Amino acid sequence: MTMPSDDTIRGLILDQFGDALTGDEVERLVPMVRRQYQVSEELAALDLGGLDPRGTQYITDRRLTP
Amino acid sequence: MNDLLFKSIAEMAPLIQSRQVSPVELVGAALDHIALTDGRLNAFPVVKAEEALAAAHEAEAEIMAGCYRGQLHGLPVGFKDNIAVRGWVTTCGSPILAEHVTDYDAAVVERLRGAGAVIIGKNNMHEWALAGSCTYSVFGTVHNPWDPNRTSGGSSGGSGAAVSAGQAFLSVGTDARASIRNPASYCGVVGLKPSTGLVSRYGELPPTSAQYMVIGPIARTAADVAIAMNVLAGYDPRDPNSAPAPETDYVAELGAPIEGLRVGLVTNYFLDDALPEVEQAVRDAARAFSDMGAHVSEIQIPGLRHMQLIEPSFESENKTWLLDHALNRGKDFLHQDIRFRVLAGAFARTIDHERASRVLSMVKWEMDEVLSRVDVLITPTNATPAYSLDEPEVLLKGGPVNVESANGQSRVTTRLTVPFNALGLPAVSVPCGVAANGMPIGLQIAGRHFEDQVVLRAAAAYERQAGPGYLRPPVATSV
Repeated sequence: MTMPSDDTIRGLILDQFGDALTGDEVERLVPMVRRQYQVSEELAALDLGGLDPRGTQYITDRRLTP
Repeated sequence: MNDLLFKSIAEMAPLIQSRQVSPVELVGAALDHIALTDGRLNAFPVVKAEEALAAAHEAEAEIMAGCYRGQLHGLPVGFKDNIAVRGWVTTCGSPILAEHVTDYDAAVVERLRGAGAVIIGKNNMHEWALAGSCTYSVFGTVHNPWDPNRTSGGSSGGSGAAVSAGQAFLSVGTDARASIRNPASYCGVVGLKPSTGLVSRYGELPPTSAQYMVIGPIARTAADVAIAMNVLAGYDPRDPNSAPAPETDYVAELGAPIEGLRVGLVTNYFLDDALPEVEQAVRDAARAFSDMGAHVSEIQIPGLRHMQLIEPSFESENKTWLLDHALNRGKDFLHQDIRFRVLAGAFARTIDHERASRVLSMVKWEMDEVLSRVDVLITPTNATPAYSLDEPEVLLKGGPVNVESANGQSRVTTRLTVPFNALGLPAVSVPCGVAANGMPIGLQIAGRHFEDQVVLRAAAAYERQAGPGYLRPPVATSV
């Protein structure tokens, strides 16, 4: 996943909330949503999702066992 | 009578049991003390004097008749205002619930009533318990009894300030990231975040956090917290997360020896931001444990570096119930800081939650391994003492951060405490010194799940033999 541009994030906000927010409110929200995408990128970079499901099970997969 | 308000529960209980102190007079003194001090603190915005005095009369009659219910009988206590008390307003600090009257008692209220405690009112809190401060509330800001120009911490800030200032012997708060330990640390008292599932959450208002939240006590000593836990802990089928724990006498366990206890001083993550005087206070505490005969070692928990990736995913799922107010009605009913956090949370993605859960599992494996080598962990509760309400920035070891931003505040107030919420482990904050600016410093002691008694034993031993213990704050001494 590539990091969306601020324009894309603005578009996502408008898609989700329509005209419920003012322009200033959308601008305040943009960096907060961008931060969420940054966290998303950092989580993906940890590369925790690549194991072959045929070779894993709950007890031995330390990613899953609580 | 005023001096009696600053005694510990353990000191007061025998005086009440032996009828040397009247619950009616004690509760009356607490009400007078609140009237005298709360103008500067704003810790007890809801006080029910008539009901409290009626309950005190009832307690006194029972004790006079030889029916003593235990160490909390006849003592004035408070509840954070997100815990339901029958017939009382329960606001969660929010204008949305400003007139919301609950028609039932929370499980913890039932338990304290059953133990004969006298509920005198509700303690102020941060709006929806969504910060480690008490700046925004329908009742206004809570002030620290050590310095009213500084934050009480939060979100159970009213509870911490009230107990510190002698307004109540005990207050019951909630903690999803820091909210019991943070105000306990900032106000110089003792606060326990119990193991997940140990104390029933039945009657806790809106589920600010589904997984991280617990209910627990704030008092002036570790022994008093243990007394409270003997009443508060226990399985409740009305709470789906309640779990049957081994029957434990938390007070009796305080007497177990400290010699041989394995104490781990965690030197990564928790000391990253800590001011030198905070780190020094914690290292001094480690030495004190060593002097008491404990085996102290320095340890590292590398996986904690991922906590900042885990928390946003879990946090955002738990505020969607505020989305309608945030979008359509919230401008007048939600503080803008909370409103925008709710709006941003709407963009959380399932895949992130799944990945964050996997990272959390790895941290848990790592923590389990560490806790097989040591019995308790010690860390600072906060990187700094309570910060000034007037200053937008707080100085951490690496420089200032803006505490008015959600991320900045998290770093100052919840970063060091939230791992134990995420992992469901017990953690207590106990006073461990006073900073150069005159504000208390807190030591956090954490342990294995359902070993709250070990954590409290360590806290009590430290408090008894090395720590400063409870100190009366300036607001309470100047009346």
